[in-house]
Amino acid sequence: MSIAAKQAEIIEELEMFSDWQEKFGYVIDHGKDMPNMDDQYRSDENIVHGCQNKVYIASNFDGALVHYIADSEAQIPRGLLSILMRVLGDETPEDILTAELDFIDKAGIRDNLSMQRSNGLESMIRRMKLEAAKYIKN
Amino acid sequence: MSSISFDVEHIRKDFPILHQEVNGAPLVYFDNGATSQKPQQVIDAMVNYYSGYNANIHRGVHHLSQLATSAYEHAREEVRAFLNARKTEEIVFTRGTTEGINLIAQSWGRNYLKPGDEIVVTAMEHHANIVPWQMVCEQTGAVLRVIPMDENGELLLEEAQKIIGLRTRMLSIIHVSNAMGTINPVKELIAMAQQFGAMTLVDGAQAVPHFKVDVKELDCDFYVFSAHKVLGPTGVGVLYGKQQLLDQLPPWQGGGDMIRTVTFEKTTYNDAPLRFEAGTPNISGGIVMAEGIRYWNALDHTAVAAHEKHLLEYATKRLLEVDGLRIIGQAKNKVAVISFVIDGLHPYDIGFILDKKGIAMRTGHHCAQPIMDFFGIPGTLRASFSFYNTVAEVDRMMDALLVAQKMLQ
Repeated sequence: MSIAAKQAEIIEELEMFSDWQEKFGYVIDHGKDMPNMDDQYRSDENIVHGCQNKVYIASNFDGALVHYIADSEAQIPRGLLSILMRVLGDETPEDILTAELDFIDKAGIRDNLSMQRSNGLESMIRRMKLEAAKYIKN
Repeated sequence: MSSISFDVEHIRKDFPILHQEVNGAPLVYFDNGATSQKPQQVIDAMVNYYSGYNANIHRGVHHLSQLATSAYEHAREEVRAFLNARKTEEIVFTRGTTEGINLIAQSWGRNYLKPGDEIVVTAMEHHANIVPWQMVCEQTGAVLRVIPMDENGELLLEEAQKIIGLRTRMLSIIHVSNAMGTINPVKELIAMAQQFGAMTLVDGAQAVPHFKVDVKELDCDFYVFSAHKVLGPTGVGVLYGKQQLLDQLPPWQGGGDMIRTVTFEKTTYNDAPLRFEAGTPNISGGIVMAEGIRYWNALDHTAVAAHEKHLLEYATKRLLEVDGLRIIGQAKNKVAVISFVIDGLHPYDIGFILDKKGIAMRTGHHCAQPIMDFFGIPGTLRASFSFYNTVAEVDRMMDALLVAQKMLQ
C-alpha cells in the first residue's frame, strides 16, 4: 500500500470518532500494539530531541525498504510513533523522503495536540526522514 | 478551614485570565509555581506606564523621564520594604532569579574563587542554582558540593554540618523547592555557613509568593527572586545584597547606567545598585513589579496562609485516594505545592489529558533533574496552588485525573 493510501486509511478510521477522548483512545491503542524496542537500540544517538519525554527512533534497511524501530516511555507519543511507522515504515527511502504527511491535519491529530507535543511530532517526522536519507546512495 | 475574612471568589474577580474556558471547560490554573497570574491592578499599571509616562530613566531632564525615574526608584523602595532590606541601595533589579544567581557567580565567584574552594548547594536545587556555579567552577577550579535530602524531600542537616566547613566559600540554597514544595531551614543553614565565614545566597523564587521573607532576619548575603512568580511581569526580578558586599563587587556587564565616567583610557563605575544594571533597564517591569507587590501587601496574609494550607491538605487527602498515586516530597514544612506520580502511568500522558479538561498543571522534571534521579522517576505532575485557587478546582482536578487514569490503564 502506498504512503498516500495508508494516510487515507488512517483518516477514514479516525473519522469514526467524534470526540477527542475517542481519538486519543485510538492513538493510545496503536501504541499498545507496537512491540517494545530492543535494548540495543536504546542508545543516546537514537534519542529524538525536541520531545518532552524520551523518544527513540532507529531504522534498518533491507536494500529496498526502510524498517523503523521506535519507542517512548509515554503512551501518547508511543501511539503517534506507531501511527507514523504504519505510514512511513516498509517504504523506499525515496518515497519516505518525498512523502507529504497531510493526514496529521486532515485526521484532526494536530488540532488535538498541544503546541509542544506538535513540535515533538515534527521532531519525530524529521528524524524518520533523516533515517531514510541515510540509505540513499549519492 | 479557610478564614471567613478571606473571600476567594471576591479575590478571583481581580484576575481576568481565570474567567475563561480551555478546551471547552472552565480553566483551572494550577501552574502557579511556573508563573502566577496577574491582577487587573498589575495589568493596568503596565498600560498606564506605556500610555502615560514611558521614557528612559536616570538621564532625561524632561517631564516624562522624571516621572518614569521617580516611579522606577519608588519601585525599588517598594521592593526594599517587601524584603525588609536596610536600604534601597541593596536592591538590584535583574531579569529574574536566574540572572541574579549568574550575576553573583560571575561578579563574586569568578573574581574571588580559587582552586579547591567549595560552593555548597542542596540536592533539591533548580537548575538555575546549579549551572551558574558549575560554570564558575570550570572557570576557577572551585568545587561544587551538595547537601543530600531524604525520601520525604527534607535536607539532612547532620550531613550539611559535615559538608559546610573551612573550604566553603559560598552556600547557595533554594528557600522553597519548586518541585516538591519543601520549605528549607535556610536560617539554620546560613548560620552554619557564617561560622566559617562563607557567603550565603538564597533562591527565593518559590518563597516570596507564599510567605513574608525578611532578609535581615535570615541574615543572608544575597537573596534573589523573580517578579512574575509574585503577581508581577516576566523579565524582571531582584537581587538583594548587603550593601557593604555589593559595594566591593566588580561589575558583571558593562554599558550605560553602570558607569560614572568613560574615557578610552579608563572607565569608572557607578555605585551599587546601578553598577549592576547596565543598559536601559526593564523600566516598565520594575514599576509593574511594585504594583504586584502592593497587591500582595494588601492581602490578609494570615487568611492567605490558612487558605493555602487548607488547599494543600484537602488536595493531599483527595490525591491519596487514587490507586497507585505517590506524592513526591512529603516534608513536614511545605508550601501549597504537590508533586505526584501514578504507578505505571507517564506524567506526560496524564498532563495532556488534564489539559483537555481545562486543567493547567506542570509535567516533567521541573528544571530539577537531580531530584527526579534521586527518586528514580522521569518526572512528576505538579499542582502548585495560589491564594486565588479554590477547593472546587481541586475537585475538578480529581475528576479529570480519574478520567486520565481510566483512559491510560
